[in-house]
Amino acid sequence: MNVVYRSLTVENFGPYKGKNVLTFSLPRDGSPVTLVDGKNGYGKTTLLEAFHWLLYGEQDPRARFDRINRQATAAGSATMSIELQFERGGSHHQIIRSVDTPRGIVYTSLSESLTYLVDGVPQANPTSKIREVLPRPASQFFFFDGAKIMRYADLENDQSVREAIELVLGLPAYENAIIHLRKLRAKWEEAARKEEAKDEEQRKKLEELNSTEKRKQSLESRLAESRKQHVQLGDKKEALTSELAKFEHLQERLVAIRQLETQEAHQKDRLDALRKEQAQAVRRNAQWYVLPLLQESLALREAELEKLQVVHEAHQRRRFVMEFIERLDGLDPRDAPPTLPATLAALVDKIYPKPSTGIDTTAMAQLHVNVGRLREKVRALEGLPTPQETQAQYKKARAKLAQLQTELRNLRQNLRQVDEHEAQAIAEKQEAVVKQMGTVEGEIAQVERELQETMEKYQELRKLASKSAASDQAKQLYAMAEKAEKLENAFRTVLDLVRNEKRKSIETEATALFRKLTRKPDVYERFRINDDYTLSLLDRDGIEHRRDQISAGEKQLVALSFIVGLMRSTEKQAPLVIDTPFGHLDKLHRENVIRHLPEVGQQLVFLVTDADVAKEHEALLNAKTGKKFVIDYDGKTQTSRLREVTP
Amino acid sequence: MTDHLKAVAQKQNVPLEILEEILAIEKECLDLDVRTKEPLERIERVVKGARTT
Repeated sequence: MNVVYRSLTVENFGPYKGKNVLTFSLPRDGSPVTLVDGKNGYGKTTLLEAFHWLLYGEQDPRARFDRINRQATAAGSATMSIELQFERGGSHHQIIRSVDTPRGIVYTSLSESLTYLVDGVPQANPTSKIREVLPRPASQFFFFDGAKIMRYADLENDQSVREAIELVLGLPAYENAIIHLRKLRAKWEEAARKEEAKDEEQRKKLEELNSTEKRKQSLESRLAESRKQHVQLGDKKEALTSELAKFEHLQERLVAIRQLETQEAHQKDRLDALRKEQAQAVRRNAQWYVLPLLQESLALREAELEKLQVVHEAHQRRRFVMEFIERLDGLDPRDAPPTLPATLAALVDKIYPKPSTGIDTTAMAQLHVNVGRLREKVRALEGLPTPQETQAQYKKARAKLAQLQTELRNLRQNLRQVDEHEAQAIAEKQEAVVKQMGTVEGEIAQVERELQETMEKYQELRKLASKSAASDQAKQLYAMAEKAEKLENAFRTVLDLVRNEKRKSIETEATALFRKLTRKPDVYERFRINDDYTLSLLDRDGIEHRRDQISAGEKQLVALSFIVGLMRSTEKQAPLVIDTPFGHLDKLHRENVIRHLPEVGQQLVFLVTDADVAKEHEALLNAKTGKKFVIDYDGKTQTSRLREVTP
Repeated sequence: MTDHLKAVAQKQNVPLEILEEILAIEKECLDLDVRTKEPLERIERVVKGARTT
């Protein structure tokens, strides 16, 4: 939006005492130039400074104080103010900056007040509004000393100039958009990375959860398998234990067999003995049958022997008595009656009758011997079992033997069915199974522990996994970062396009003007705006002119052309207020400037001295000038006044 | 410049209104000389609100 100045009111500012109104010529009236003519020291540059102070203020209180017109303050309280009225976008704008200076106040306590009105409506933030309309960095292109603009043509634009150019061209908006979008992209990418880190953690947790779940299942499976195996091993162990028990039973049987064998052997011995006995009994059978006879014979013989013995004893007693009686015959009769022997003999005969037969002692002794023998024989026979008993015993022994042999045979048969190493193998198997069971039990315990831990971990991971969907967050952030990047790239492309367009525009506008201003249009074919906004002057062949071949006047024209080209290429178009616009220019160039600069359509304010405009150019300049002011200076009061004159 | 925005938006398949909105914010903030986070926050809201790019 173009800014078109309507008026500038300067009150008690610098040499200007009281209110001084500078009204501007409007381009639409066909006269874009406002001319302010004043001698050196009258206050031309003060007007330039008035624009600066109005728009951007003064931070230094001393400098602010120094701007206040002394004559005004000497009279008492005074107000220093600048008011600019202009049009922009069909609206009437009014900017007023003022400082009240009550009597006796110290300069440090002076404060500025700023008012910005649009169509009479005060704006909330006048400073910002000014920045919108006439940004300070760009002011060097709006208000400048014509003699000091060669630096734009010096091909060594500094950074501030480049920034100002870009600002005027409106490019910082794009650059800032790029910067902000890049920041946002970086921010979102960083956030996404953080989320992703969380995601990574989450993903790891999920993976861990999955693996834990798998592990849990695996462990459960293992546990089930182990338990099954344990049960199987238990069964196996049970079977082997049973087998071993059988072997233990067999051992018992073996013991029994051995006992039976012993018994069998004993029985066999007994049987043999019985057989022998039986054989002897058979042999003794005859004797056995003669036993009663022998017993009867013995009894007879014993009876005979007893009789013989009785007789013998009677004989013995008779003989003893007889011998006693015989001895009585030899006794003195005085000692015994003579009849006594006879009496005694008679008594003896009575007691011991005289055997009829004599006693054969030899025969009796033989009989005694025979009786003794017979008695022994009978006794021996009587001590022997009877053949029936022997037979019964034999039969019993044989039956028992047969039973033993049967048992033995059965046991042996059972034993024969079992490999003698089998028990050992079974025992080893059982041992192995028990060992295996121990291993399995250990494994079960281990798996149970692991399962418990895994379950706990699984539960925890599940809780964590269900807490957030961080991956979505990261995705969203990446998507936003991608959006920002796309927008950033778009703005980058737009910026390149706009910048190139602007450069071309500046080149075109500046070249067009310069070729009108220079006296050597055939030498200087065109401008080239380099990437860093430095200028190059090219000849027809596109060859760049050396800097040292360009004069100061030419440089001023180059700079002026560049500024005009810049102003023509920007959306923030503003009038050019140029102090000493013809500084280094020769007559022809001045004429060219006077002639052609107003043609570009830009509102122009020329602050000139009487020496700037040659007499021969006055008519030409007046023809282009819509408003003309002369600065009157009162040497006594050291004050200046603006006075409008007819161009 | 609007032509450039349109062309780029079309070519790069980005919503023109988002570009325009961001540019408007930047211009406004530039004019207001806002150096705070405000444009960033506003642009963030715009980009977040953008349906597709």
